Amino acid sequence: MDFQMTIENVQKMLDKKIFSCEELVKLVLNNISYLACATGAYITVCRESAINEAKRIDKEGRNYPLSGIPIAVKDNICTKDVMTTAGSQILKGFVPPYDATVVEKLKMQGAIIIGKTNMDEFGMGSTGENSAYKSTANPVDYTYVSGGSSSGSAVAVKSGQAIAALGSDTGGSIRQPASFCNLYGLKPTYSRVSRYGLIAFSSSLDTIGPICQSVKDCAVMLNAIAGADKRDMTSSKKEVPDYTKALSIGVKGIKIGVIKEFFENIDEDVKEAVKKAIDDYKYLGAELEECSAGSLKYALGAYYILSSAEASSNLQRYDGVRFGTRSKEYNSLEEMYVKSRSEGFGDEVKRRIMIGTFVLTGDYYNLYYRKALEAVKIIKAEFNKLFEKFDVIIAPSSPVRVPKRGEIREAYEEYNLDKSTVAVNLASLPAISVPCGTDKNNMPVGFQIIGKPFDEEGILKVAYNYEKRGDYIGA
Amino acid sequence: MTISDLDVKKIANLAKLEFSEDEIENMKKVFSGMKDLLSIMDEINVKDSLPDRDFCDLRADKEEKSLPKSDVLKNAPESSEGYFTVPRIVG
Repeated sequence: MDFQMTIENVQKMLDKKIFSCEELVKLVLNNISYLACATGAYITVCRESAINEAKRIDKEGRNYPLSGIPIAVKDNICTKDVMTTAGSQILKGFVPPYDATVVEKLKMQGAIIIGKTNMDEFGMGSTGENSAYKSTANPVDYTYVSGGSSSGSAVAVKSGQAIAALGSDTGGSIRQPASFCNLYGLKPTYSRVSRYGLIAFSSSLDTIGPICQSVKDCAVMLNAIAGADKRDMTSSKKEVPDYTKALSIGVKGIKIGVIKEFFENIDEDVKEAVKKAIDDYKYLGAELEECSAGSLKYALGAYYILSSAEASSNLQRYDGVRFGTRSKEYNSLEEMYVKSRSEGFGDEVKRRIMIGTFVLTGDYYNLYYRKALEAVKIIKAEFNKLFEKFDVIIAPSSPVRVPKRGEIREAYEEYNLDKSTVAVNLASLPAISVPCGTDKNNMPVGFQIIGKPFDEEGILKVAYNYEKRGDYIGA
Repeated sequence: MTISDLDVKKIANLAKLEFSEDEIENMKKVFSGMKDLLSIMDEINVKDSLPDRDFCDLRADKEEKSLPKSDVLKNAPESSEGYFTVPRIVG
């Protein structure tokens, strides 16, 4: 296997003094300098603070698994004194006076925040081409999209511009770019990780999680960020286990469900790659069975209704008064609101605000919004029933192979890219995307392992067994 | 679902957004493109009860230290004497 700069390997090299934290940070910063233009991974690079922090850690020592590790943070996660834009023009120049809880936790454990990664504006997009600043390119082949919305986070980790990264996932935004960039991306159970300081898109669906080069790295990152937080009242008080302890070899007897609807109307080469992974699990001794979830047909519609409705409300705060940009020309308060918003938001964000406002207006509330809530109830119940029988469920991470940059032109075409991922968010479940070969263009394909609520240990274990399968079945 | 120019303008007004004539045409296309996605919802019967939501603990109604005013105002497009500034509202 190729040597990878995983958190685990980097810690070993720091232990052996092959390089210092400062040298490591400078190496990563060099990669950023070389690759910034070609990949568009970062919006802000924290050059000086990262070097200073590395020097401090070299002097004071490393006490945690993340000490000295350069980590990239998606630009919708607030970082004290570092510009945070959520990929939007309307937040250009916004410098949060506080850290998000996840950032505070990473810093407390000696992780080095290397920069803020590019993203589809406010998390709305699935290709990484929808940032107000620049588009991201897939490091595997620059002519293909990186996936999104955590585009820069995946690109940075894939191209040595960070060792690991934080992303956010509202409808697939961690799993899909991880899959397109041949990486592991973990979307935790809703409420497992505090959302305090995450710029809200859809508050009932938003989650923060890691994008990494290995399953173990995902476990290490989740250990660092999970847990209750009194500043996020929705965060769960459930105890946080040591997720690295779940990583043991052996899936004999584990029951894996394969929902057939996830494999309908998807690209043949994607289907083939995921089916091959399923066969590998059979070989490893897991028990696989096909099953059905008819309610999945509502998922994409329900997702776009609910997430847009919540976004239309959450994004009302951008009015040019307290933060963000204000239009230069206006004659009244009303005009200032309208012009600041119309100039500051990109086209896709405006579309979602319009859809969201529409589904909450008058009779449409009962026709769409209320029905979408009902659909969530049905989807949740169906997953609960499946989990009475299965330990985990396997599905593709994307219904299509990695698109070329510029290939997706219509909004609803892009919405279809989320077909494989949104149901997991609606049902508040944890899922991890795992690389599993390539499509006909030689671009990465990934599959998701979906778990019961709060069973991150279960999905990490199943993912780990696939990752390590070559070590003991000679694949 | 057919959306007219007037509908788009009405929704835009509620959303505090404005669009050019071309953009209104595009927005109408977006709404009609979403028709299939949304029409599947027709099948769902809404029960009387609201869906279960996970309830969270409420915090004590206690005053807590908040950010210093100066820190907060740093991000304001315009401020003056410790206040956010907006265009004159009353004559």
